[in-house]
Amino acid sequence: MKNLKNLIIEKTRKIITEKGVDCPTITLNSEFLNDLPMDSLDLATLIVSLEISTGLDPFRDGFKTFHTVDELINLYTEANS
Amino acid sequence: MFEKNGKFNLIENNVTYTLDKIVELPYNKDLTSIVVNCSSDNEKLVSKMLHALYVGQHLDIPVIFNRTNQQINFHNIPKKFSVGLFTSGTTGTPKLIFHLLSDLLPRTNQSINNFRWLLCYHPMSFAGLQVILQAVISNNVLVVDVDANVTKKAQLACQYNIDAISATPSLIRSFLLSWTKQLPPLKTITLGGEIATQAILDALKSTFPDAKLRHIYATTEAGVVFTVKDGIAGFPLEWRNSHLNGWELTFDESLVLHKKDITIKTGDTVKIIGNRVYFIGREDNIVNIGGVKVNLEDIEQKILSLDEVIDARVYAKSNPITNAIVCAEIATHDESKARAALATLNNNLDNAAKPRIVTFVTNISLTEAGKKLRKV
Repeated sequence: MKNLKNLIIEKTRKIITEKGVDCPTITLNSEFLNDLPMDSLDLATLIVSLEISTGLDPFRDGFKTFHTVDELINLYTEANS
Repeated sequence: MFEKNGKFNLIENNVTYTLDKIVELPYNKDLTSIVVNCSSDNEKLVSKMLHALYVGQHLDIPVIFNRTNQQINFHNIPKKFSVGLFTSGTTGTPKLIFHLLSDLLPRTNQSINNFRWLLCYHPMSFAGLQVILQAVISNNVLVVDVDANVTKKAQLACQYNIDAISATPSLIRSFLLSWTKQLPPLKTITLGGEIATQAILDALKSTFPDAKLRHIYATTEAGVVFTVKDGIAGFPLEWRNSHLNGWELTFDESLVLHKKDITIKTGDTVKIIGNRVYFIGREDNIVNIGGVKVNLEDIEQKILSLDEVIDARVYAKSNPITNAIVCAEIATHDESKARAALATLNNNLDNAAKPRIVTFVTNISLTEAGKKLRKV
């Protein structure tokens, strides 16, 4: 499977640029809803898009809280293990 | 309702208004009705609405809150004080429905609690107006920024030490994803407008263990039908055929409400597991996306009307944040032209209704029964 970190950052950037806004530098500590120009629908699109690409669904057992890129990577890494 | 020298405070766009200050504004005594419209600048919208309610009650004339700037037929409106709200229009043209003030007021007086509310719903929705009136009659504080996005609302909740909130599960999930450094001191949380899953109820119980947590079932036509306070998704099976807030509940596959000669087929499908009834979705093609009801067939018809599109399937894909997002499968001979046409169409669609994931295919996929699969 493609590196999860790169995949998540790449898909996040794609969603932001498709909105027609400049994408800031995305770091592991970037908070999706606070530091990046994303709303909850964008974040939902990212989750669905990752599920389609990876077949992984870390939220199968219910809602899990995450804020940063790193926290989301960890959720997918755990789901993949 | 408008108690003189009451302690109600409205903080709208960081400006504080007392009720006295709102009601003392001048008005025309010859009015026969009042209409408050939404505009691109909603900086003082709730202040205007409260003033309209005060004047409407004082002159005993109807007040209409026109969220989507609909045409109003003034021949068909009541002569006396009542509050007109438009339905969302998901299942057809928005309908103007008048409510008596008593139907909008909370059934329990919580004035002993000095709550600080954040308005999360649109003020001209049934649920939004209920929060406003609850805060007014209980002499509470109400914080409002109508045009604020989710992140800004989450910040406002912390900034103003909000302890009472009424919102959709989708909005609450977004708040939980936004509150990183600080949590507001929530004491009461009410979920409504879409299915409250056990997952969101559990997430709230663990984040705010001391808060009173409840979820309500309401429709624009019936108002609040019931409130569930045990922290468990769905509602008790023993409520079947019983009367709650004047409505008798019956259900087979979907919930039907009865009151005297009125029958409301809600279209909300249910499933019985043990002694509990759970909501599972809709019997039509309406999907709740981040608290907004979206009609998948309507969107599909709009896409099919594009010249470049041969066929299309619009479906909902579930996710843990907004319940679902809209996706589309499009059959076309010219993908680049179809993409451009879809981009133009998107500009005219509500944010929640825009297809988020679009795939271009040769043939649309169908179910074994030859139908378009709507939910994945």
